[in-house]
Order: sequence, then structure tokens, then C-alpha cells
Amino acid sequence: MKRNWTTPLFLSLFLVIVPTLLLGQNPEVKRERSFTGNGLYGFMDGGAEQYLEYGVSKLVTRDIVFKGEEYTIDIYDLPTAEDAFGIYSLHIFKCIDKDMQGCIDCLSTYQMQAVKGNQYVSIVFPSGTETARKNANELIRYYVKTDQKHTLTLPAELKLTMPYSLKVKYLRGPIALSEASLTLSKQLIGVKYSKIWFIPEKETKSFKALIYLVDKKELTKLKAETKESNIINEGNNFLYIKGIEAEDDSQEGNHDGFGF
Amino acid sequence: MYHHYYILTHKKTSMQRRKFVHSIALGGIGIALAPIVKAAAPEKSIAVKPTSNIQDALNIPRTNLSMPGKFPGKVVKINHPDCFINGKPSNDIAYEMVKTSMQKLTEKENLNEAWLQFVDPKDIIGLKVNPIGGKLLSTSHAVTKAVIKQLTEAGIPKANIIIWDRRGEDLDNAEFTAENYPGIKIMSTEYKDAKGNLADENGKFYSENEVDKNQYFYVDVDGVYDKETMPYMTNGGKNSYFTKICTEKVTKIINIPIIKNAGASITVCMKNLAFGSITNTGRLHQAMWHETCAYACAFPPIRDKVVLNIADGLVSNFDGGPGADPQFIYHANTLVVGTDAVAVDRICYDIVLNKRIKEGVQQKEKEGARIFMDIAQKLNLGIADKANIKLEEINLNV
Repeated sequence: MKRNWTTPLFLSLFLVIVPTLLLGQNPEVKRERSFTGNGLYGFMDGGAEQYLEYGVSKLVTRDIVFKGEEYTIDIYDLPTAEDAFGIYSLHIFKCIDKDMQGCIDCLSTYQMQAVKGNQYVSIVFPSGTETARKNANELIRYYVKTDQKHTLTLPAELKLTMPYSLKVKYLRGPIALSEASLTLSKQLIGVKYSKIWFIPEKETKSFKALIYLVDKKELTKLKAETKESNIINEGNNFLYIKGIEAEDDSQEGNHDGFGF
Repeated sequence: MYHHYYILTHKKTSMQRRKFVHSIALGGIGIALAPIVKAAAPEKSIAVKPTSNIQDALNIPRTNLSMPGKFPGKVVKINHPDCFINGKPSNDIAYEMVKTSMQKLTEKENLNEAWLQFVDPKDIIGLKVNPIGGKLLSTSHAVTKAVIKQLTEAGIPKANIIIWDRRGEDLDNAEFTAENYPGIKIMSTEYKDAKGNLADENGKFYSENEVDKNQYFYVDVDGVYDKETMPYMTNGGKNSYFTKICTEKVTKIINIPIIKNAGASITVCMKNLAFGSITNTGRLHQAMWHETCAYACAFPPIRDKVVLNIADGLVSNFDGGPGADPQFIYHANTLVVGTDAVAVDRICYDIVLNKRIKEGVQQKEKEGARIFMDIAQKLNLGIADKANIKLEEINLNV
């Protein structure tokens, strides 16, 4: 039988050329830095308090150039997928696309944010172009390996289905809570809780909050302080309540804060 | 987790300081990444304000150049829907936008004549940019280069043009560099040496030599800072000194701020001038923010030198300011131009407010958000009353 050399030749060319082309498309890292634990203050100073509230253990930040565009990609390691979602949920405002292909992500003009396992990922691209936005997806695939050990599970009480982005926030402490709702923040003064699933209803300026208390005593206390008509449900360690955002609890200062 | 709401409000100052230092430390795109922990509650207005030396400023006779300049209350707003190419503001379109607005403002068909209404070849002209938003949200190079090009076409030597701001680091991060602007001087009040230090071997900040100790804004509020913050304040105490860039080095200032929110208020012309020209500003952000925006502009180094304001709203934001949170940045595709910084601010305020309402960040105008403009009007620095502002709106390429 006559040997066909064409197939191995094409195969060899494929094996040589394709990786070369792909290599040419690899991100060029201009600067890479890692921060662990409280070292996060060295990177973001005051902003670190919010991240540390969620238990961020490590941040790797890279300034890169990819396909002619500049990006900064930050990958935060958190204890759980819920914590990663928590940080993510506080940092998204509006999305051009969200929760694409079953993932939890939010694409805006200048930023792609995503939750991958127990990691929160932010990619910023100053050009804000369509190309940059497409490339951001590639960068996530390049840098982030999905860890199936960590999957996001929302409590059944919330009765929520995908997409989750912009629908619910996960709060781990007072800094996150004050960011999400000053009304609830005030309501929970002196109450010991471990985590809160917070559903804002922008249209009606109302909210629902699934609050996990640290013990039965705290649960009893919060229940006593909450109008019965505002209690949606309760369990051994949680109280699911609703409320109205007070008009004067607007978080808008008259101007900016300290500094320049 | 124990929840103490009061801790948040009490911790505000330290958190704000950290936020500020962070913005300095990040640079580049990274400046956008500062996760902003919002102030826990809006400030309550303070009935009795600290005393200041504003009367000293008002006692100094005005000149024919004093704010609000040649065209009080006149504002040109120029829009172009396609002023971005591949995500960057187009130099050519920015040139056209600046040109058309200058012609409209001055009613001069000849562009050189229009510019020479405000400057002449003997002037040393300082372009006051706003670079604190890094690459994402700083005065655009397209507009800055358009201004420089038109100035040189009008006969101003490049050597007489200075791009300046308070912090050299911010200018670098936003790429206002000698490489990007050949022949133009880049200056700042605070700067680092080759080793990256803001102070010499004796611990003296370089910026101390760059401020004019004879020209200061006094407020009866003590600036007390930790060692990390002090290099960015230059001095503590009750005086805020004007930079020598304003007092000695330039004869005219063209203000090119960016249109940004500052909470429910804005930071555009007056804020850019006031807080960008003096030291020891940290103490002025609480009780005296509005007053400082207006009062500092009433002192001669600013009042008598600012001849033109070109508010750059090609890229703008509606929340997260004055930092650059990418979630709130958008293409506003506009420039707002006038000699009257107060009137320009008033028009820009509406741009930001309307966008905030449209995006659901706030539902209505917040009481007190325009106080600094009203103060400035009382000081005769310009017109804040919208009914008395003559707004000319131009839509290019429509």
C-alpha cells in the first residue's frame, strides 16, 4: 500500500504552527504583584478592609498587554465561593452582559468581573472597546482555572434562579452591610450575625434580607425587634425579613472624601 | 460578627485616608481598581463655619483679568457623538470641538484671534489638568493636545506652555510626560526624586520649596496627618499655601478639568483649581469643602490668572468620583467651555446630576450639593444662577 505522507505532514505543521501562533498571543505581563492577608493594605489601603471582611487570603494583580490592549487583571482568593460572590456582588453596578454561559460574570464598558470557584476576578481595560471586552473573556480562561471544589450555593429560602448577578448580594460584615443598606445596617446595630443574603428591590426601594444569626439568643433578639409583618420566614439559625429603605439613608455624601 | 454602625462613622477619617493613599499608590490602570468604601452617612451641615482669611482675598483689588473673565455667564457646550476611535478620543475631533467652541465663545471666526483674546505670546500659560483618575478618567490627551496645537498656531511658543498639577505621580500615571508632550514643560508641586522619595535626605519635602509661604488660605481647622499622609499634604497646621506654579511661574491659567461627580456634587472647574493649587487640603474636606472650592479661587493666584475653562467630558463618570471606578465611567462626548468657571460648573453639575438620576444612583437633586457655586457667585467669581447663564449648545456631526 502506498504510504500517504500528507496527513503526518499537515499534522506536524499543525503541531508546530498552532502553538507558535498561540504563544504569540500570550499576554505580556508588564508587572505582577502578590499580596496576602493584611498585606492587602499595601495594595489598596482603606479598601482592603472590605476585602478582609470576606477573608481574602491572596491577591495576584497583573498589568498586562494582550493583543495590543492594556489590561489589569486582579485575582482574589477567598475562603468560599459565597465569599467570592459576596465581593463580586458589591462591585457590580450594571452589566452589558451578565452570567454568560452559566457562569457568574458581569461585563461593563471598562471592566469584566467574574466569580470562578472561590476566586473573584476583575479585569479593567481603559480602551473600553468591543475588542477589549472580547479579549477579557480570553484572559479569564487563560488565568483562571475553575475549581470545582468550590461551587456557589444559594439558600433555598431565597427562591432565586440564575442569573444571580445584580439580583442578590452576599454580606459578611458591617462594611459590606453599610455598602448595601444603611437602613438594615442601623437595624442590626448590636445584633450578632454571621452572614446575610440581601435582595435589593430598586423599583420599590425595598429589600429582603436572609440573616444568619450566630446563636439562638441573637435570633430571639432580632425577632423581638422586628415587626411580625416584616418576617417572611425563620429557621433555627436565620430570620428572613423584608424592609423599606429609608429615604434619609441615602449613602451619597455631598462630595468626596479625604485627600485631593 | 458584631455589628457596630457607629464604628463605621467613627472610622471614616482613617478609612478615607487609606483610600486616598491607595489612589496614590496604585497608578496606571490600577488607580481605577480602588474598591471604594463609601462614606457611611451624608454629612450634616455645620451651622457655624470655622473662620478663614477670605476677607484678605476680597480686599485685594480685582484686575481686568479677574474671574469670571471676559464672558461672564456665557457657556458653550459642544457635543460630538462619534468622538472616540478604537476606544480613544480622536485628536482630530477633539481639535474641531475645541475650535468650534472657542469660535462660539468669542464670536470670532478666526481661531487665532479667538485664542488671542485670552493669551499673548509673552504669557507663560499653565494648563491645569486633572490626572488623578489615571488612564481611565483623567483630562484627555486629545483635548490637551488640541489646546496646545491651537495655542501654538496662535503664536504661543511651546516653551511658554506648562502642563501642571499638584502631584507628579498622578501626571506620570495619566501619561502627562515629557515623552508625550515634547517641548512642553510638565510641572507639579509634589514630586519624587530619582530614588522615588518625596523628601530629601534630611526629610524635607521637595514640595516645601515649591509653595509660596506668603500666599496662603487660612482656615481655623488644624491639619494633623500621620507620616504616610504628610508627604501628600506638604504641611499641617491652619494654612494652605499656594503653589509657586500659580504665584510665580505662570501668567495665565487655562483650566482643563474633567467632568466628574464628587458624591452628589461635582468636581470640575473650581474644585480642580482650588484643591489642585494649595497644600494641606485633607483638613478642608469635611466642614469646609464647599467653602474651599470657592474661597481658594478668590485669591489672586487663581482669581486673576484663570482666563479659560475647558471642562473635558469626553469621558466622564456619574459615581465613584473623584476616583475612577470603571463601573461608573461612560462616554459623555462633550466639552463645556467658558471663561466663567462658576457658570461652567453649574452646567456640568446638571450633566452629572441628570446622569445620576437616569442611572438610579439618586432620585432627585440633593439639597446643598451646589453650595460652592452659590458661594462663588456671592464672591463675584461667576454666575451660579442658571437663569442668568447663557448656554450655547452645539451638536457636531449630527
